[in-house]
Amino acid sequence: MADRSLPRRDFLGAVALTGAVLTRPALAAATPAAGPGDWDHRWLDGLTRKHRTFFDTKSWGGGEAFGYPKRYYDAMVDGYGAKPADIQVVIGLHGTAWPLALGDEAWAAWQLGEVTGLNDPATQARALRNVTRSDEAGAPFAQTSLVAWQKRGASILLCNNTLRRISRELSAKREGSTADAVYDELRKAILPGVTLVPAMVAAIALAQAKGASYVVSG
Amino acid sequence: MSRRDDPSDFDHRWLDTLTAKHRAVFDTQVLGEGVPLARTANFFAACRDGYGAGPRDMQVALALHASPMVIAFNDAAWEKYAFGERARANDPRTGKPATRNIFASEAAGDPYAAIAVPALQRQGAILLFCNNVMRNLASSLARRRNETVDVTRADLIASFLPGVVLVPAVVAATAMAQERGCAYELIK
Repeated sequence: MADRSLPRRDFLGAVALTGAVLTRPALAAATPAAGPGDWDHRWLDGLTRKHRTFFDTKSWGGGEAFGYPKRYYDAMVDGYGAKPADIQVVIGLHGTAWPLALGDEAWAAWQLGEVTGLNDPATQARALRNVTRSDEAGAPFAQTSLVAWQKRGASILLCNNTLRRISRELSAKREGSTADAVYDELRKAILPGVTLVPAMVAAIALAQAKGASYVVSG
Repeated sequence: MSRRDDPSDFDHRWLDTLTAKHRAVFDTQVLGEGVPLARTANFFAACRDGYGAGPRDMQVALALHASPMVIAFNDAAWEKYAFGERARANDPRTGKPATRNIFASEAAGDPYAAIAVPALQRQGAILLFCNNVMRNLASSLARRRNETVDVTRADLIASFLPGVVLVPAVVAATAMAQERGCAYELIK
């Protein structure tokens, strides 16, 4: 599967091509804006199924982040008689839901179990891996995991503004680090198939412009 | 294990009625001092007085789940299931937890008379009740009352105010309403 997490063109490379001097790229005001070609918009172009709904997801919400869309999915099938192939779910992760889009290395490095309040059933302690990812039998959130959603054809989005903000906050906790370095580290940890979008507020609006229903979740 | 829902278990006609010029679905998650009713009344008033909408130009689908779900029931259910205590809604006549649905009373002097459910329904409000909420509510009340879930569920559905519609899930109903051109608002 192609990695859709990164902008099509490497952001720093794009800056270098323009000859811009990048002194503090983590600060939005000092960062040259990425162009439309730097992002992967295929999730938006693919919003064509009959029943398409965008879930605005700001937190784990005790499981609602991935559980609330499942209740939508089940009700559409069982209650409204929709075919699974006609249902399209988009889950937009921002606010405090950003760890759900990252791999185990980021969860271990930044103790994201503490951030989300999620425990690992294997250790009964705060998770040091993304326990919301796997759909394998026995996984804690198998049916409502990120991978299960991807297999149902859902698009999982991560907000770049959130990632920038979190990078600044986390860099302050690691001596000698910079927001840029943390941003690069987190971006590399974005799970396969997750799409980084410029801003969730814009993604929400664009999805509605493509006919998606909108639901606040998580 | 109970059987899965089937589309024929539900009345979907409310979706076909969503044709008014100005139509919205309110995802109601807080009750407060009748917040869902007040917001609906404000929507109707603003459309009418501020945007010149006619009386048949407005519709609001009020999707009830979480605490606002008590709005959907009649007085007998409020008394039987102590919804006044659950909703922390006191009756101004007694100063105690209401044993009647004060959100549905248009009686003079009652706190929500002007924005009570029947008044809003006459202006174009449609009340939707979430089947996932019904499942949980029937289960917890049946346990407390030592009844079967099926008996309690049937009684709760029979206790709906006139015009309340049971939908498979509010999350799907709000999405379907948007497919029919409704704007979405979260009442939180």
